[in-house]
Amino acid sequence: MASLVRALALDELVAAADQVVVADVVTVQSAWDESHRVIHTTVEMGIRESWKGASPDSGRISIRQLGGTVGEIEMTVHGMPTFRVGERSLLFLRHSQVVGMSQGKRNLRRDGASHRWLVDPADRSEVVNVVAGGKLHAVGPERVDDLDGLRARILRMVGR
Amino acid sequence: MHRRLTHAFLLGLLGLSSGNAKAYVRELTSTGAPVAWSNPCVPMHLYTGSPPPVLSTAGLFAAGMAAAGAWSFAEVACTDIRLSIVSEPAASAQVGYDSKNVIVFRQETWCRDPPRIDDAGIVVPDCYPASALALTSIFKNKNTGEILDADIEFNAVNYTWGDLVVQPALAISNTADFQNALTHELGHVLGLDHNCFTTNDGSPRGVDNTGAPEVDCYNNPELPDAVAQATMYPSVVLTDTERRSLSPDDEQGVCEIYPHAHEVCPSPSDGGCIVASGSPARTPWPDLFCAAVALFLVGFALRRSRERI
Repeated sequence: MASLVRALALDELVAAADQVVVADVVTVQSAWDESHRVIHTTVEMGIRESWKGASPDSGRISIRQLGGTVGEIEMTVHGMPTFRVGERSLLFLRHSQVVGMSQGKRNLRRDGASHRWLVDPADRSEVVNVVAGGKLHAVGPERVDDLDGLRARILRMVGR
Repeated sequence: MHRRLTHAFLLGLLGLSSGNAKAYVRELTSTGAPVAWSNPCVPMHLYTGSPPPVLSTAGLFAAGMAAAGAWSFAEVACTDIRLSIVSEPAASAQVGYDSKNVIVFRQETWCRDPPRIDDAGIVVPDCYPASALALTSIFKNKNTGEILDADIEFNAVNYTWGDLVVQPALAISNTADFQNALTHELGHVLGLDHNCFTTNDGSPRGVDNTGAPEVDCYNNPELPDAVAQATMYPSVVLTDTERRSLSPDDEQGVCEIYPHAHEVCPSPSDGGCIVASGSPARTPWPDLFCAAVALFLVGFALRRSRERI
């Protein structure tokens, strides 16, 4: 892919999202569109935690994004997040799309020593830092966060 | 510029040299095949009919030519790649897998063209994230790595595109340099990946052309200047113009993936025949087709000359 996306800080991601969830990937399916011009991938996810927005009764959400592989043909849109069945991630979603492309997906992993859930930094490839009014608005690299601490920060941001 | 100065300052504080890495990273398919075009002559159709504000049609075309030229023979003497810009008079075009590589500006809606039609036959706008300045879609064969189609869409709904070298005053506004962005995107179109490791999405760390693991892009005080200053570095400031020209690493990448083998690439290259300079062609079928066409033309000319006698 290769694409360019404006760098978004955590508060911007939260503000732009209509849903912030921790979810597990259940299925990943790619298919050509009706005109056989582009490939879309549909990701079904099981919600583990919902931090912003209403959680559907089914406990499932579906994300649809450009790119994927069908047969021998692979369509890549650089900057789009990738999903693997079984992985758990923190997602910032708007209209069933990941906000800020890869910036809106942060993978979770269990720390072997402390047994705590950690949140990896987002993939900040293709990000563009913006100059506004002559002043650089640069978003610094993220760090690994503790899930409990990050949850508390985001819930404060959304007023919960 | 700001990032580079900051980086140089940090290196100076740490007493580190700027490094002299000669590294680039190739994009791989999901099966691990390196990605590349089979034919080194790659036309990109730039839709200039309705340029976005600030850019003129001539300026748009000139920027496209400059960005394509930066990666191409003869500006890069050791490569065989000839990215050509074909000016299209229409305002825009659809993108997708159609063997036509397009560069378009989306000015009315930042959405896919054509829109999606759902299972009930209803047209559904398929819009992109507003934070995305540009989207590059590449279709390739996952087993061979052959690139089959590449399209670039620029977001002129939420952002302004200009020439920040000619009009540096625009740099204080929310304007990006079109030539700078296009040069980076064309590097991806040629099969180059970012030149350092950014991802935390579970993907394994890749290796560069030397077989060494990719260096970390971020939180890395030892990041060599050669990496940070390359066109294929993954993050820039909106007003950056330095990616317009290739770094030695970028040049090495395009030369090693596409080593110089042909002297001439007739225009237009789509459907045209490569005149070989003695080196074998990359793919036999286009040249066999060209040879067949050439034999037919020679035979036709001989017949006509005999008829005249």
